[in-house]
Parts: sequence; structure tokens; C-alpha cells
Amino acid sequence: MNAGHRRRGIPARLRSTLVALPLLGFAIVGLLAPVLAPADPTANDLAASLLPPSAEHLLGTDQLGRDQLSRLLHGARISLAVTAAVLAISLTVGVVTGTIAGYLGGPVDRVISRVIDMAVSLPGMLVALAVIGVRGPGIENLVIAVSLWAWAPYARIARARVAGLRGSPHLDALRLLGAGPGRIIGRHLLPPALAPCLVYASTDVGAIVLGVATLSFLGLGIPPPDPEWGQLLIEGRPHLASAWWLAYPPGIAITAVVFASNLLGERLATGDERPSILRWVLPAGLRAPAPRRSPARPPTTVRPTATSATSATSATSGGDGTLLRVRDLSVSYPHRDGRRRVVADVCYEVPRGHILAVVGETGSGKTTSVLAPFGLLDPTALVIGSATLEAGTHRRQLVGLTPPQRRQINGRHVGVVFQDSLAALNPLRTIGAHVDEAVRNTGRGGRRATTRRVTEELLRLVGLPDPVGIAREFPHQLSGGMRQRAQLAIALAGEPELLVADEPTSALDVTVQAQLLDLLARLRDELGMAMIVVSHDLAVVTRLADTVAVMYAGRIVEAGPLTTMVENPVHPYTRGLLDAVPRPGTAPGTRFRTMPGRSGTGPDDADGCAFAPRCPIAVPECAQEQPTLLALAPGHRSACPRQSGNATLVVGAAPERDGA
Amino acid sequence: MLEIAHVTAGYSRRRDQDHANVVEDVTMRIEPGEIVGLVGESGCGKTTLARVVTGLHRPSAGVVRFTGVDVHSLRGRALRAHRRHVQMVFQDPYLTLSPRQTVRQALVEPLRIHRIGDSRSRSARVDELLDLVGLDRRVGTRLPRQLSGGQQQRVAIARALALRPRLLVCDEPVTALDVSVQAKILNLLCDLRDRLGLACLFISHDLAVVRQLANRIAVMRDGRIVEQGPTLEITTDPCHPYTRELLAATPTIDTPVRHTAGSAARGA
Amino acid sequence: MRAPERLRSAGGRVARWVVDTLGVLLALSAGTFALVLLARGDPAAMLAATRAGRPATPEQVEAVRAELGLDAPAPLRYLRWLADAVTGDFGLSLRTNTPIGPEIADRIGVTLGLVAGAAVLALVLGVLVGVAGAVFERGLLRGVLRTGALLATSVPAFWLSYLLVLVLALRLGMVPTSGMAGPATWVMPLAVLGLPAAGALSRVVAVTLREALDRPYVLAALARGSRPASIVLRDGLPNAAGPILSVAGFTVGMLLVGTVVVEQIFGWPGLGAYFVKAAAARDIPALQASALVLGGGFILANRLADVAQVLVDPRSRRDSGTRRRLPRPRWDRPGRRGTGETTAHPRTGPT
Repeated sequence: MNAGHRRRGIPARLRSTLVALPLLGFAIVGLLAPVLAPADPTANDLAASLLPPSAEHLLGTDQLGRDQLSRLLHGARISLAVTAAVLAISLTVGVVTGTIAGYLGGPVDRVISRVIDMAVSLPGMLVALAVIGVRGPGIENLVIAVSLWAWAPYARIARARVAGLRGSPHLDALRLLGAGPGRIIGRHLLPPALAPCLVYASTDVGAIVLGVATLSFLGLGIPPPDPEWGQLLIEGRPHLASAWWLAYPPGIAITAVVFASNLLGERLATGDERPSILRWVLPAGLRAPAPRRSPARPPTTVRPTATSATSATSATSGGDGTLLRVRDLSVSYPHRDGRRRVVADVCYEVPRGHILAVVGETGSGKTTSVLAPFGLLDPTALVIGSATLEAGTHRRQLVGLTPPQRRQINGRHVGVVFQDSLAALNPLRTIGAHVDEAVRNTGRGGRRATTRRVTEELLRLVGLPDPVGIAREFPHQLSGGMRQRAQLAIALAGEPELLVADEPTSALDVTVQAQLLDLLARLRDELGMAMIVVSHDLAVVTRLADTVAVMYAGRIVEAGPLTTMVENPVHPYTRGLLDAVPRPGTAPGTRFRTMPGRSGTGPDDADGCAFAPRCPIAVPECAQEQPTLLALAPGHRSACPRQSGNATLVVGAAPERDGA
Repeated sequence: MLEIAHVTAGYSRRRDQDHANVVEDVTMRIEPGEIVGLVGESGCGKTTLARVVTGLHRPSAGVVRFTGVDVHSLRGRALRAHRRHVQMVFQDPYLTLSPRQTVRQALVEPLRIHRIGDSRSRSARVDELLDLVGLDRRVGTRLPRQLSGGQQQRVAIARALALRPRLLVCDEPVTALDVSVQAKILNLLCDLRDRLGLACLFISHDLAVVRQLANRIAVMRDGRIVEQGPTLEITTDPCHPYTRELLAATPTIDTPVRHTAGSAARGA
Repeated sequence: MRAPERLRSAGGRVARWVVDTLGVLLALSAGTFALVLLARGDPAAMLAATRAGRPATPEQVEAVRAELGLDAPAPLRYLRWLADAVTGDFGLSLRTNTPIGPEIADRIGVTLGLVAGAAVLALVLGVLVGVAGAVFERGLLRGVLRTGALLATSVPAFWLSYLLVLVLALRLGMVPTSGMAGPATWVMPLAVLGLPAAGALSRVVAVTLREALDRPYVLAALARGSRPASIVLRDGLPNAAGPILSVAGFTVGMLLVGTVVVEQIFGWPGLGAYFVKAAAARDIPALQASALVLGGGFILANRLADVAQVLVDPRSRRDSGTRRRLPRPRWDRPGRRGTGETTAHPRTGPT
């Protein structure tokens, strides 16, 4: 059940089906028991008592000479009947109650929720035992006793789901369209409420089978001579030492059904488990072997070995002031059968003290290509190419570092600010604890008080008033702008030469965004720090960047100095992007010039230029050959072979379609 | 056509909230064929105002009149009839569409609810709607999750238009979209206004977007409209310091001069 | 200014917790009492028969009925029963005609000892196996732990006891098959009770810890150069603690219920076995008493876990509702809100 590429042959859906197979077998056996069973499960034959398994009695006979296999099959029938009845009752009662409570809200919801809470907090087995204790055993009482507590979880799940949907824009939209409560509940609330309930039911099957068997075992479930599985076991108990065939098969049957049910439930609830981010920090020996690369599209560059890395280094380094140099960086993820590149052959460099902005739309690979050199991607990512950082006095190859080596780079030479500040901070730790840890990691800490003094200094540096108080606050107690500053303080703890900021202002209000951009500019000036800023918004980076790289479908399509990129872009995609940005001074109602079609997705989806299908100046050759970045002027590169500057963009006047 | 008079609205006693998310004494008008932009930062009450205008939320004071009728006094049949005139487009199109309904089913739903036409005329109307919002008719058989964000928003707009409303309230309709997709949706809204004479209350946090789209702009802060007027007047000669701050903070690409500390926040 | 507020809210929360818990316990007692109403057969007749040693005459039954106060209306009987139960008086067993209270007091020690032992086993084993399952990536160990844990939760306790008896007692002769005498007799009951609980707990620990380690803050910790051990201990486990504590409480509660089976199998003189005997004999007063005690224990274990869950999460503390913001520009101070602005700049568009 591990990562997708381990068992390539079996798709996840099929594996779920395989897991469910024992359950299906259980259902079929239960339904067909009278047909399948070789003998009458209640026919005594004292002459043939306690016979070991033979051709005649495949699983032997019990103390009354009854065929054990037939009793086992009929046992499945009883278990199935009880389980089906209980599930039918509790699903219906639970989903209806929960949906009503969730939809109505208010006092009705409060009362019903309270009842559900109480029912859930009662021990189910005890309730069943007590009910049977006063009503006596039997299949009917068994169903009542188990249903009495089994409905509550369904009600809780359905209520939570419906209550969550109640305030959703979807229902608002339906109300605005004039839909009445009947239509909303029946067509739009019941189906989504039922889905998670069915997932829970897959686990519940096991719990019910186990509960019924346990009750029978205690002599409180199905009375003899009916062959319930728990009943079979208790009847076999006196012969435990001599007749093993009485002890094993019923136990194995119960365990198999319950195990399959638990496994299926876990699979449906959590899905296929992905490898965790922590894989990066485990010792290398514990890591899985590097997954094989896609046979279809072998990457153009190879993973650098130690020698190739050093040779590349010696060739390019030489104190030219380039802090970070990325060459032919590709990142791929496992995909169906093979790997799929999301970033291809990306090259960029960041001189000391400069700010590089990487701009692109959703899925263009901008964040991936910037975080890849520092090992901050999903663990299934395979990074190849070269990225060298002038860390301190020597140049280090970043691709392929071990986790301990990474810890010498991350935090000390490179600081990172993530987009979602609430998610990037541990909600259970104070701001001060975060910064303290960063300070200690870089070796600037000491005694607790010393560390905290450094922390407060850092918080002051990023413009947070009252650092002493802020250090004691938890992340959720700060506004988005303040949290982003706190992340900045953490990133600055190691006095890094490079700051990587992934969409640092995207979630913020414009006024707060402006202040934060101010702060970043100030920090660069004061600390001489280089930065890589990732953004989807060209307008934002014009306030900050020295250089801009524009990405499309996993590749850099144009890169150059800010002024050139904004005033004189040559790649048609860059121009299209600029056209889509609202401009001040335009008369209200002016249409935007737009690019037809949808964004390209991956760098390897098309043979030629990924932008060619949308490009107003494309020629047939564009769709055949992958363009490479060509230098136009110092620092200005473009991947459009038709750029020469004379080609004029023809803007389509026809109403564009966003269709297939 | 739409008249919002001294509307105050809030939520019943939410703990630990000052007056965020609450609308106070708002007065506005929207005329036919006009796009009015409502700009403000998160939590200033613009979404609450949208819900009040569409009738989803009841104001604690003031009235909302649509063609002279108090929206919140309507009940039953009259309310259903009124609902057809005012529709809403939400920020996240995926959340407003049922994940189980195909595009066609989603577009037929409002016609079914109001029992408009038979199956043939409904189908024709769906085709018409798909054309209107620039979607390929083949998209009709897809589920929302199979569409891009821009396509989803087009479907949401088409569904809102199914009942031929006269006013469309758009609550941050392009915030979740990429810039190039955003441009297309904004063009679409302009086209719809020109072609259908549709009025639109366009709510956004992004002054840059609003000023290229709207005929008039209202700036909202802490539940109040601090300034409103024709777009050019607001953007070139703002009176209120908050409007000036917003204008200065809104990033544009007309000033590709290297940024130095201190010039962004205190632009005005 | 903040301290008393926090205190007040903390006091309020404690009070609400107590009231809530009492409410659930009261509901439990009402449910338990209601068992009488569900009962088939006449308790008075049963007790009378027990006393007489043979089917009782109508006169004897009436006498018992009057003695037990069964003629009173149900709500009144409930109140009487509850008042007595609070003082530990649960009436007479229909089966033995002896007081139930002392019997329960005698047996509860055995049950609590068993539960305590199994709880230690389940918590230690469950957390260790769970953490290992979350941290180790793939590999044989991880698969074995995961399958083993799932298997342990799927095996019926009574069948597990068979297997243990077959191997440990009959084949190896290491421990006696049943009874409670000396440390060796504890091995099987503790294993049968504790292992399935450990399996269930370890799955929850593994899944929640894994989730907690899959969050962006772990990536952020890697970005600032934190060590793996520090990430698991400071970021992973605390964030997984809430659900883990809640399930741990539930697990301990389920152990209490599980004694019903285990004590029966191994012939231990505990409360669980008493409960089963009462249920089998439809000894309603004894059934009610043991259900009330076991159920009350189950509920308390869960409620205490809820308290622990609140204590570990600063977000759920009441005093943390307000957010700090950066100071706003001067004209924005609360003293002079932009209230008059609408009239100050009355720029209404074309009307």
C-alpha cells in the first residue's frame, strides 16, 4: 500500500477491489449457503462425532457428528443476515437523523446532536449485552441490540457533512435559483451525506460481525443449534486440545472478514498512502531506491555524480559574484506507469544582492523550480540537473545532497518564506519557539536567554512591534501580515545569503502587501541579501525585482532585466501575460487582449513549443521542435525563435472560446 | 433599478469579533446596464453586503429595493419570482457547482426549479447559454472537476444567467483565477453588460481590476462606504485617505522603476 | 486585564465539563433503568422463585413486588433507584438473593487491575508501534507492523484466547489455562485484552502522526535546518496528540468493556464476568448495577481524554480569540472611525 510507483502493475482502484474480495466472498457464501453446504448443518450423527477432516467431511465433524463445513457456511449466512439488517436500520436512521439535524441547524440541531453525542459515547457492546440480558437471545433481539448503538456514528457523520454544506456557496446558489428545501435536501444534501457513511459502513461490517460473534460466544447471541461462528467456537471449546478443526476454521473466518473490512475501511478513508516529507530527513539507508525514470521520455540530462558536479563547478565558478547557479534542472513525479516531468531544463542564476522574480500561472512549475535545489519538494519528486550555491567561501552542488548536508545549507545560507503563513507555522508552538529553534539550528543560540535575545532582535528587524510580546503569541493570534513577517524572521535567523520567498504576499490585502514588499526591499538594501521571489502577479514583482523569469508549462520562456521584460518583451506569452494585467488610466470597459485556449500543462506534453497552440505568431515548425532559450542581449533570453522583434502580434478579435 | 438605503447588517453575537464582517449604514444605487465596483480589503463587509442585496441575509436596518420593491418583504411565490431577477456569482466556482452534476444538468437545474419550458426548449436554452459564455457545447457532458477554473466560472455565470436576471452580483469572481483567465472572464462580463443590458455589482479586493471594468466605484472600509463615484473621478482624484492608500498600494506595471524602500505604502 | 478573563473562562469551562459529564452519566443511568421496561418476564416472580427455591405462588410474588416497590410509577422508581445507587445500594440479586453492592465492591478491584495492566500494555505498545509505522518509510518492518496491528484489531478476543491457550498452556505448559493466582495467570488475560487495543491505537497513532508530518510546517522546519528527531517530537507528535489522546481514552474505556469477555474466558472473579452471569440469568438489578459501573467508567475515560485534548491545543483555549494586527494609520484609530465619511464625500453617481 505504499507509493504508487512501487506496485506499478496494480492500479489503486483494483487494489481496493482486491481488499474487498473477502467481503464479497462472505456475502456470496452467506447468500448461497444452502446450495453450497454439503450437508444439513443441524443433522446429528453421533456415530460420526469428532471426526478429523476427510474427503467426506472436508472440515471434520463436531461432537454431535455434524458436518463442520456446512455449519461454517451457514454461520456466514447468519452473520450476513444480522449485519445486513443492522446496517440497513442504522444507515437509514443515522443518515436521515443526521441530515435533518444538519440542515435545520439551530435548536433542533443542538438537541439531536446532543442525543447523537450521548449515543456515541455509550459503550456499544455493553448496551447490546444489557438489552439482550433483559430481552433474551435470538436473532431479532440481536438486531435490535446492535442497531441501538450502531446508528449513532452514521448520524454524526451525516450531520457533520450536511452542516458543513449548509453555509456553502453551492446551497446559496441553489437558494438564489429558487430551489425549495425538498429539492435541496433530496438532490443535493442526501447523496453527499451518504458517501462518507458508506465508507464508514465498510469498517462497520467488521465491527458488527465481531460483535455478533462475541455475543454468541458469551451465550447471548444466536442460541444453539443454529451454527453461528461464535457459537461454533464455544461448542468446540471442550475439545480444544484434541479436535483442532473445531477451533481454527470459525476463528479464521471471523478474522478474515473483520480484517478485510478494517483494511478496506482504512483504504477508503485515507486513500493510498503517500511517502511522507520526512523521507528527506531519514538516514539515506532507510530510503527507497531511486525510482526508475520514464522509459518513454528519458530526461535529457543525467543525475550528476560527484565527479560531474565538481567538474561543472570548476568550469563555471570563479568568484564571479553569482550566488546561485541552476543549470538544466528537471523535476519529475511518478505518474501512471513512469514519471512525468513538471519542470524541464530550467536554468537561472542569482547574483549576490540581486532579486530574481519567477513569474508564471498555476501549474507552470515556478514554485517547484525554485524549491527543488533545496530539497523542499514532495518526496516522490526526482530532481536532476545541477544547482550550485556559493555557500560561504566554497561552491556546493545542491542536487543530490544527503539530509545532514542539507542542514548545513538550509537555514544557514538559505532562508525560505512560504506562501501560506498559517500552514507553515506549527500551530502549537509560539512564534518565539519557532525563531528560537531557527537560531539554535544555525548555531547562533546559546543559553535560553541569549537565544531569546537574538530572537527578539530578529522580530524587531522584520518590523514587528513589541517583539517580547509577539514571541509569546501563537501563530493563529497574529494577522496574516504579521505571520509573514514572523516567517521572515525565521528565515533570517541564519543571516542567509539567499532568501527564497514563495508567493510571499499572495494571501495578503494590498495595503499589507505593499508594506511587506517595502520590508523586503529594505532588507535587501540593508543586509545585501539576494532573493528569489515567486509570484503569479507580474505587477507585484515590478516593485521588487531586478530580473524576471517567466515560466510556461514547466519551462522558462523568457528571462531578462525587469525594464526589458515589462517594456520590451519578445516572447508572445510574456506579452499576453502583460496584456492581461489591468492598467491604470484605461477607460472603464476597455477589453483586455487575451490569449486563446488553455494553459499548457507539462513540459513534455507537446513535441514543440508548449505555447504554440495559443500563439498568434506560431508557424507550423513551432509545433515540431522544442525551442531553446536564446540570448538576445546581455541577460535577456527568450525561447521564441520567431521573436526577432519585427514579428507583430496579431490579436484575435473574435470572441474567444474556453472550450475543449 | 437597485437601491440600497441605509443598510446595516451583522451576525447575531459572534464571540470575539468586533465589528468586522458587518455592514453599517450603506447607501448605494445600481442602474440598468451599469457595472458598479465595490472595493475593499478582506473582512470589510463586502460579502455580507452582497448577501444582503441578493436576499440571502436579512439586514438589521435599512431597505434594499429592486425596481421599487423591498426585497426582504417578499415571501413565497413573490420571492421566487424576484429571485429570477437577481443572481449571484461566487468566488470559488467549484464550490458553487454540484460535483455530481454535469455542466448540462447544472444549467438545466434552474429551468427545472422554475418549471420553464419542456425538455427540448430547455436543451436549446442550455446551448444558448453555453454559447453566450463562450463555452464549447461539448463541455456540456463534463463534470465540474474535469474543467479548468476559468471554465468552471463560465459555467457558474451561465447558470446564473439561465433565468435571464437583470442584476448579477459577482463576489470576487476572478480572485481564484490566473491573470490570463481573469482577463477573459472580465471581458465576458463587459460583453454581457453590452449585449444583455445586464447590471452588475462587482465585488473585489483588487482596485486594478475594478477600475478597468466598472462605471462607478464604491470603496468600503470596516463596513462603511467611505467614498463612491465615477471610476475616473475616484482613481484620479480620491478624496478619502483610505482610497488614496489603496491606490498607492495597488501594484501596477506602469512603473518598472526599481523599487526603493518607503515609496509603496506612503504613495499618497 | 487578561488574567482574570482567562481564569473566568477556564472556570466556566470546567463547570461546563462537569455539567456535561453529569448529564451523560444521568442519561446512562436512565437508559440502564429503562432496561427494566424492556424486560421480558416479571422480576418479582424471579426473585420470589429464587427465595422459595421453586416457582412461587401469586401471594409470594405480590409480597416481593411490594417489598421492591415495583408498584410505584416508573419515574418514581427511577428516582428511588438512582438515589440508592448513588449510595452504593443496588438492591438484591434476583439470582442469589444477596445484596449487589458489596459483590460489586469485591469484584471491581480485579477488573480495575486487569484494565490498568492492559492499558499500560496497549498505550506503550500502541504508541511505539504507531510512531514506528509513521516514521519508517516502506520496508519490511513497516509492512509487518501495519499488518500486525490490523490483524490484532481484527482477531476476536475469544479466539485469540484459544490460540494462546493452545500454544502457551497446552503445548508449552508455561501458564495455567485459567484462573487468577500468581503472576503467570496474568499473561494471557493481559495479552487478550491489551493486544487488540494496542493494534487499534497504533493505527490511529500512525495515521495521525503521518498526517501531522505531512503538513507544510514540517517543510518549513526542514527549510530552517531542523533535525528529524526534533521535527517528530516538536512538530509531529504534539500536533497528532489531540486525536491520539481522544482514541487513547476510548481505548481504555473499551478495555473496561472488554473485561466482559476476557474474565468470562479465563474465569476471573471480576465485574465483567458478573455482568455476563447477570445477563445470562436475566438478573436485572445485577445487570443494571454492573452496566452502570462499567458504562460510567467508559464514559469517564472518554471525558477525561477530551480534557487532555483541550489542554494540548492553544487554539481551543478561549482567551486566544483576538488577533494581533499591525498598528493602523492614524486616521483609522477607533477614536475617529470613518463614520462621517459617507456624508463628508457625498459622491453619488448618476442616479
